[in-house]
Amino acid sequence: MRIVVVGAGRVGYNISQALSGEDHDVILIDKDPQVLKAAANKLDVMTVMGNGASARTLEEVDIKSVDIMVAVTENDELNMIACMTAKQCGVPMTVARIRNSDYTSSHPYLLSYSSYGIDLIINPEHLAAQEIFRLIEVPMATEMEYFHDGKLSLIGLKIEKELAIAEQRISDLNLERFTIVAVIRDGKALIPRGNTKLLPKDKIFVLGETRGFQNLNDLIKTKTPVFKRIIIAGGGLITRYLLRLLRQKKNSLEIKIIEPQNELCKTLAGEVEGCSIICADPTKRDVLEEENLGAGDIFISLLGSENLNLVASLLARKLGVEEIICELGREDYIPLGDTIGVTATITPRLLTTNTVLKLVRKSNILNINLLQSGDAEIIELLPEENSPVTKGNLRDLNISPGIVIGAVIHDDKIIVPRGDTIINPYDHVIIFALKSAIPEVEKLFDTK
Amino acid sequence: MRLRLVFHTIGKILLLLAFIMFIPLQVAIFNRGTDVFAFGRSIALTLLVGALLSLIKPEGEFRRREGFAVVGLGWILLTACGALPYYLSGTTPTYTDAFFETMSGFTTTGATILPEIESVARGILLWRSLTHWLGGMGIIVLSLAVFSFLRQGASLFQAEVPGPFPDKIVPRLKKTAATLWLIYIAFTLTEVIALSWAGMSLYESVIHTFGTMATGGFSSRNLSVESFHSVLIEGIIITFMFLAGINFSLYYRALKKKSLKPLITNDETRVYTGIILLATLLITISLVTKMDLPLGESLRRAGFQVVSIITTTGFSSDNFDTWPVFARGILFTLMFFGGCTGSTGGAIKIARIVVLVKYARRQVQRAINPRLIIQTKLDSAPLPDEVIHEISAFFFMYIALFTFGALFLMATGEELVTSLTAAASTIGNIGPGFVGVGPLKNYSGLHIAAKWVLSFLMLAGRLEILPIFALFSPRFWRK
Repeated sequence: MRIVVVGAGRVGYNISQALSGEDHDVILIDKDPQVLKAAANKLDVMTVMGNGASARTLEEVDIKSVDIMVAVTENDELNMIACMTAKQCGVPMTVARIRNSDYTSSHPYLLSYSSYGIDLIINPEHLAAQEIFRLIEVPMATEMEYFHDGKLSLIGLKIEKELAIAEQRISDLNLERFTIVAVIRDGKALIPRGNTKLLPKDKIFVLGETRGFQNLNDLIKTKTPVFKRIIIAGGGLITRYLLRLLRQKKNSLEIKIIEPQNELCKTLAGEVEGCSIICADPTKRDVLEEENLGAGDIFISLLGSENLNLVASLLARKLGVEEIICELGREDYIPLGDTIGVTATITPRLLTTNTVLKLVRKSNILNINLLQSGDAEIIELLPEENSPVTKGNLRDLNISPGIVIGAVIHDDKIIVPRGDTIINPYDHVIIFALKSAIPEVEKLFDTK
Repeated sequence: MRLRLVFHTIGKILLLLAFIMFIPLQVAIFNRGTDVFAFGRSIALTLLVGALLSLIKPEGEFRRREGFAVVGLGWILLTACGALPYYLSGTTPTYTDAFFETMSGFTTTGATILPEIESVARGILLWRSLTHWLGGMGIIVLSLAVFSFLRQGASLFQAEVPGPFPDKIVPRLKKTAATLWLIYIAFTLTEVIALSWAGMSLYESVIHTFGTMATGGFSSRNLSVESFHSVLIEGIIITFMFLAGINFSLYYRALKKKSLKPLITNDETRVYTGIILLATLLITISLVTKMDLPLGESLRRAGFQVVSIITTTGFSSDNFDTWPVFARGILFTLMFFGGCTGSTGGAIKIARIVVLVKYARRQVQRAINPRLIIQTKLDSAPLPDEVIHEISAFFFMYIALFTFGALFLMATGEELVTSLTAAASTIGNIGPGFVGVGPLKNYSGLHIAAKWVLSFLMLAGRLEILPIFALFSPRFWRK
């Protein structure tokens, strides 16, 4: 496919990198020759200097032959106009990053976006809030992804020494409703076998019905702490979106926001109800101690700066908080979260990138690369009549050890696959595969 | 520096070269020449070195440094291997001469150390011209089109494609390289057909087409194009030299838009055409007034020589060393101009000259009124200051290297004009100069050290100095 990416910032760069690696033709537009030069030196993409919203620049990149327009500059208005212009030129799919909630909230005066010529709006802060919301639903989870309209979930889980499943063989766990599809050990993806032992510091990916995950006790057979409070450090955009989601849920948890800026506190206090707002610096130890931070709390650090977030999280950890979610603006800091004992990290840019990638791939491929380690993918696929994977039960298919069939959804029923499971055409199949085994996956699901 | 990656890549490119050597081998076998075994052994040696190097497991990715290293070291190794057929067949008396001839071929210079060309074996002669053709569009660019593992090698592309701003013409590097080569091949085929139609044998058509399209200048005749005595052949060669001196990506744009507009509206192409017309006019006047030649004949000789020198081809249709001093002066000046960005021509390039002239004008205007803000533009787009600085630095390095080369030749005892023109001609990848290295003379009589220095100048000129200077700076190799 031919894809135009407007904006060569970190998001634009990441998207271009992923897409050009997948044999798409990527054209990257930006006003800044410096960032373009950096991109041109490292990526196999074409770079064009100019304003991505200008018809002249778009003519230069032959916009009429483009399949997808992704506008991800820092400027909402520019992104919108770039998409509108592209739509005028007949681009089938347009995506804009829009952060200002004045543009994205529903209001009777706002037309639907498709009538503006924007097919998909990505609001990174909103995505971050949604992700945090999902993670709060399943405490202890480090990652959380939905499949099949949310009926199926994939969660990431860190094995701690205290968990009952630590040091256990998978075959001894007697998992009925879940499948362990992957084990990440020392940053490398392993395919779990029955005799694989789960070691402390491993991370596992578990697939199962969303309803079943509401209580992880079943799985990890240990008592998860009962959380009573959510403490949010920082009162920015993500916090506001998150509060909106939490309110819909009618969560019984007490919510407390610690925000250092007086003005922002006042605005927040005027906007939201049912939570207490404290004007103090959450990166100060005595402030957190005064709030009695401890094991019963979920601490979410959304201060808008990765330095402050890391410091606040570190303090919270020292005070005994077990569930810490930390926003990091930079991907290269993600491993630091692990080092200081943060449960999960949220990177709005990464979420934006993933959303665009999912759209381009037109399938639910979740690249673990973008979440974590690097050498494996989780894919939702739909076999057709002639696909080899539908010919015989799983044992007879002799699938290579690099592939795990995580779940099969047949007539809306979720089946945990066993050796005698037969996959029917048009079942949804969720597969975990090492990068090296991806060609075989493609062969298995090929319709020729 | 990721040396493993660098050597692996060079190994693969050598394998490609060995593969290409089978073409002259076929010709040698067909003609039952004495050069068959020379090619056989050259191929075996190149294959061996290439295979050994490509066995090195690559790691890491291409950055600017690796790009420079692959292109710089790669060109030296390619030349070292490409020189084997001359040396092993005994065509050249020494390896130095073989290396010089091959460097002259790959860099599309066309300066020769062979005093008597017409008796050389046909396989060797084809190889000599084939090195032109490979070096013209660039063997690294060819590798980018052939090997998928080089898809991240944007730095290789930038290091080998001439001009201040080599751009991709399609999003994929591999496809960009392949497209450029396809356009090049299309022109080549057209010229071969045209020359055959004009009465040349197929073999000589191919030789002269390789010399033209690569703006190289190796001929199969001692007297170069003059020996054909054909207006038609000269006309065809002028046309294709002119076309080869234009930015090849403009041809792609013109094809894509199905109109000549991208070519006609391009600033660089316009100035290039303008300089050719002006220089031809001045030399014609000089030839008519000082040599009493008829107007038509003067125009024919002037036009051919101007296009041949400015595109840095170096074919001759007349012994221009006997021309009036003003005409020779213009030709000498043209040696510094060169073709357009992204063409197969060498020297400084028209775009750089245009930018430097505009920049100089801006400085003069700002001296008069310091508050004046002027943007230096090319094709109505303002150029970043960084590009202007790069161009100024390039110009200085070019002149410095030229001066060094000329002085070195004088130190070996050559005459002033011989030294100056030999240095200008090799660094600009042209071929012939004046007096001692004039169109009827050759480089065989030079001192052995001079041959190595001129080989270096040819390489530096072809790769536009920076990659070569970087390669020889200790900082480049530091970890």
